[in-house]
Amino acid sequence: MELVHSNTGDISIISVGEPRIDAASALQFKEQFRAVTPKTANRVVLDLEGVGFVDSSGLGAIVAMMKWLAPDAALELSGMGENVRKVFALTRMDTVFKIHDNISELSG
Amino acid sequence: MTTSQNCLADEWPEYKSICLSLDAKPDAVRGALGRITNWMNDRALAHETAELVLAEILNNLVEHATNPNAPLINLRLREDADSIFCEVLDQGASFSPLSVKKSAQSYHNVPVDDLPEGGFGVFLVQTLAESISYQSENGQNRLSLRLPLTTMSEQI
Repeated sequence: MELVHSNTGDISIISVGEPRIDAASALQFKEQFRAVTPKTANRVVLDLEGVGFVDSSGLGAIVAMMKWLAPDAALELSGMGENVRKVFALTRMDTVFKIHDNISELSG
Repeated sequence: MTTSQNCLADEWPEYKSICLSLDAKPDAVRGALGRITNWMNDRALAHETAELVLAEILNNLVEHATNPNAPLINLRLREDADSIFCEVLDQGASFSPLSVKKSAQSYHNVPVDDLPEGGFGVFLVQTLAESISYQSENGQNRLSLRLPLTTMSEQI
């Protein structure tokens, strides 16, 4: 599970280099996320550009990372494709995260 | 491992059915979902709903698989007029997707620490699938359901 950390101003961006966050990869996602993300960052955005499939395990893993970052940061999401957006909308978990269309939308 | 099988029964004519056998393991589930996606793409059917519903069902079986002597899951799909008819056979612990009722709620004002990390799978299956039926007899479980031939956007 390839996750890459970069900075834009004081925003930490975690980019997912895999097409699926699912039951087979949820555990590695959480481990890698914790390994690359500075826990005390003020703003953390998970960039899901290129992720075409998230199931309930993937959703749970993303929620777990939001909890891990709290209260220092509220995990934000960006670059969600249609398929991924639908899973968050169906489960109403889209009400939990601040969601951006893409990285270029973030203010520094 | 995931293997294709000939659909031998009359109810599953080859020209509009796909039958698979898979180990109760996460990688085999990914393999099966890939084959199902290809099968649906070949038939010009939107595959997103099927992939998600079957992922939830198969992953649940993997998670609760208890019988090391009968690890195989059998999965069959058939394209009917307005829906995909699916059947999942396994010999693991009995679990019906209808046994837990979960409702969607807004989590807007829920404290972060109280957010759920699981339980979404059953909700997704109940929301997206129709005609769900579950039988468990003599250690053999059978789940059947229908997936309407619409895209997810039409179901929200």
